[in-house]
Amino acid sequence: MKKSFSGFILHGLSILLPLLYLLFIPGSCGSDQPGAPRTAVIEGFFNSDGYPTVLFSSSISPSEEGSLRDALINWGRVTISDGRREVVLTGMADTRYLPPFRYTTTEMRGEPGKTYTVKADFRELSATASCRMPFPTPIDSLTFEAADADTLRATTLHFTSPADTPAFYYLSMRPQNTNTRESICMMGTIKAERPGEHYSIAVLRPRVKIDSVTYLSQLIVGEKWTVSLNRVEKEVYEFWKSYDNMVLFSSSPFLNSSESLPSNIRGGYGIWSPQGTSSLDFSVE
Amino acid sequence: MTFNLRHSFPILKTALLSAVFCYMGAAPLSIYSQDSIPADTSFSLLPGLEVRAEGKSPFFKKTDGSLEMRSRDVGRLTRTLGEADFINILKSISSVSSGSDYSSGFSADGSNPTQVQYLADNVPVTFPFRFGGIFSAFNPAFYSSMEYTPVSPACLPPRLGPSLEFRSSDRFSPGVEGSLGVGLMASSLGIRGGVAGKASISLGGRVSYVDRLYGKWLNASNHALGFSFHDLNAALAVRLSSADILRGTFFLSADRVGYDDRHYAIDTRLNWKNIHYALSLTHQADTRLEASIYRTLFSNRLTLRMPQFELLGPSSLDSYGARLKLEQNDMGKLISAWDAGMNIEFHHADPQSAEMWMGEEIPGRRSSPIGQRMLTASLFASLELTLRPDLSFLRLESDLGIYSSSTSGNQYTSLLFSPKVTYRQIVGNGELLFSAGLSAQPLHQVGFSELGLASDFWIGACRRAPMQRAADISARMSYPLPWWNLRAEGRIYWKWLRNQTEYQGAVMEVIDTDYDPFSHLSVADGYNYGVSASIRRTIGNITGEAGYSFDQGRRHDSSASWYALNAAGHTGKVSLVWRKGKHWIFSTTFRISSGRRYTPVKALYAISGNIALEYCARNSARLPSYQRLDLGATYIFRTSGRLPLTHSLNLSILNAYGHRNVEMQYFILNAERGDYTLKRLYSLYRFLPSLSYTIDF
Repeated sequence: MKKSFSGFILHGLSILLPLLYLLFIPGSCGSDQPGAPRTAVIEGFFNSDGYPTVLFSSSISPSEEGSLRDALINWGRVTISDGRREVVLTGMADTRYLPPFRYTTTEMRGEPGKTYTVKADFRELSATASCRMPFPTPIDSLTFEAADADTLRATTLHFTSPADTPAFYYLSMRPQNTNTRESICMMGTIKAERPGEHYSIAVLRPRVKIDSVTYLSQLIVGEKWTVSLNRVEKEVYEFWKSYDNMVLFSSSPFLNSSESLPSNIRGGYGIWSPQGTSSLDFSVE
Repeated sequence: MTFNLRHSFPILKTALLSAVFCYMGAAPLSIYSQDSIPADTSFSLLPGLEVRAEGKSPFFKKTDGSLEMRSRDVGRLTRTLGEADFINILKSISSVSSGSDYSSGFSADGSNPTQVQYLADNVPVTFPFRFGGIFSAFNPAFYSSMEYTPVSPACLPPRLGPSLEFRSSDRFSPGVEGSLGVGLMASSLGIRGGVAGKASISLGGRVSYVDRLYGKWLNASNHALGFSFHDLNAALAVRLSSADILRGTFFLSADRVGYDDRHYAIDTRLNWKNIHYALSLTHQADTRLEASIYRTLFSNRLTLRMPQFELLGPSSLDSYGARLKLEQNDMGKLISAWDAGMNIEFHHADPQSAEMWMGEEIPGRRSSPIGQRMLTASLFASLELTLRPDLSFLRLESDLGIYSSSTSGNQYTSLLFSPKVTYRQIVGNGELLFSAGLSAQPLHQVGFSELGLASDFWIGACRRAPMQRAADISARMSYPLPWWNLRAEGRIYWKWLRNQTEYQGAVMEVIDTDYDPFSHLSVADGYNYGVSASIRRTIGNITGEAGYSFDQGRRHDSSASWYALNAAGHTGKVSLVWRKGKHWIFSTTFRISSGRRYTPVKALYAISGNIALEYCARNSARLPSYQRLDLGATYIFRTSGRLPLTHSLNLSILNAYGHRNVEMQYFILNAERGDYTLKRLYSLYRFLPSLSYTIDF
């Protein structure tokens, strides 16, 4: 009995000890934040009858803390082509954006129906994207209803879908008379599936500076805004819809997802968004 | 009829039992002393009479590897926030793991927690968990025992994983018995009474007051957490004759969770309910017959509220079932036991849909619910061949049936066939147990959370999410050690899996008018494997287990392969119970394990003034390792008088040395400065004491 028992123990230890070693080897249970090489990032807008704005930056590897200003690229070469003509965009510092630098030009104005190609290069980073600019859809009206407090208004934008459906949209807005950029409205994507129908979408305040200001979705009486109904191609719509989902739920302990944003950029991340834009200035009543 | 062989005065008890059996004119009888029982074994020797050798361990392990726990023992071990819970105690054994403090359910052999079959008095319960799985909906004041079977038997509705059966007990003799518990989180009551030997009435209930007492702790500057629950159980048993009992049962469990994120001005509400009622008839003779019909309903409503709109996401699974089972045990010949019968279940599932409101409903923002109907009908049978006198046995079992579903007019039909074989061989003082089998499961649970929340919705197998299937093989060896009544055990398993579903959609998809939950499913195949080793002591005043296990799993589809979310990795556990005299029971559990798997971030970049994340391969990293030491002490005393009472005062401390276990991590951005910081959300279980008081009468 003793002999067979000691054999049993030795046999057991020969299995257990390597397994216990595996348990305690450094990093075997630790967190793992693998880095990735820097990748080009493009966030580009080109409004119909407007001029292009391209933010060209790089991705950064995650760490405990850092700054996205490290991603800034201010010596890149950014070009836009409509298939016949190519223009080089000029870079300039602009603190309204993050990173605070943008590329733009006044030599090319957006024409609906054309396909525009953006190309961005900086050292080893290179990315490109092509996308068609759809025709804009006019805004029919804006309506305001009393909301939770006397000074707040639930604002709704109304439009009629065009003949060439399905049509894809996202809303963006910017406070008038302030030096801020235009931002996507929260829950601001909508798809119109049938032609000639009336559609409505809530105009909810863009969600930015998320860590320092308590967010208020409704608009305040007296605020002056410019709202834009941007008609885009399907892949751009899918991007903004996923972006909306990320902003709303990425830190929720209940509804988190670990899906990367879709992209129409080849060789990088982000979005190239030529868009048919209808804008309306309004004051919240 | 059950006799418990205690360790005190074993000779006296053995003699007493022998005398009783002789008086009864029973068949030849063998009574094993505690030390000569081959394993910590339950075995029956006479029809209707079970002689059980029982140590002082809260777990009673049977020959087929199943474990039994009694509420009396569970209530005297470490409690979670003052609540005794069968499943939390089960998690202290090495072969069972849970993803994190907030994960619902548990995993065994790397199984998905939704592959576990839960039954209350033989009726399936779909999602029996409190918020984040901190404890279950099974009230120990009402349910007297729980049996854990590592592989769900063929006689139950088909599942790939283990089964947990909770049983309440009847009292036909006149008088009343019960239990009243008061904790810092909830109070519970269970009471049983007999009426003239003809009827038994059992009632149980539990109500929480978490918000009032813990609300302050659950509120922070930028968020507030609210939580409440209640449950109600009832059973009425009527003895129709000396052999026939008619039993009706009712089960209700309801939970409400609210999470207000002031930072994001978004409030999340989860409301879920489990309700079931059943009627069963039991005929107890040489052959036992049990016939039952039941309805079991699970429903959940997810609500996302912002100042201007509200998004509702309801889902439900409504099931009707009938079961007939014939069984005969203790036959005393080559065929020692058999059972046979049939199961029929009809399900109606409403997978997730959404309505969005903004004062009035926003046009174009409502997805239509997709109703799904399913029917499962199967026959089952098992046969156990015992080779005496060494208690080796061969068990064969299977079900055979058909499953059919209709989803938006699309029909899907599949065969149910789950043969299993178990062979136990006694070798000297040790034993070897081999098992192999096929399993099938028609129900999937998928959703947005990795923790298995109630908002994850149930769907039946269909063309786009076919029947889950598994083939598994395992071997277990146990051997008594020469010291301190210790027993060593080792186990190895391998499990092949098919049609494992995960949800790949985003919340925003739900409000599309053409939203189709089935189009966002990823269906994968894969495998799990693992080993475990443990040393256990079930006899004496100090009992417990020390064990190590390793579980790994991979999944793959046509485009990628990835690690399974629920395979626990390395886990080490030590649990001890010390019964000091008549009055004190001390318990402790220490566990250290690999952190929960998650999908790590590969790169950060700025988009529209916010931070966007690019992810690595799914589940390719683990959170920092998990550690927790739980302590419990129970003081027991009795008072006599007109109503003799047993009082138990329990003090428990979860995570006694306050290790910060990471539950999730995410990046936040200061858009003005462009700085980002990695934020970690730690478990609330940090040096969390609780006090509870229970009276048994």
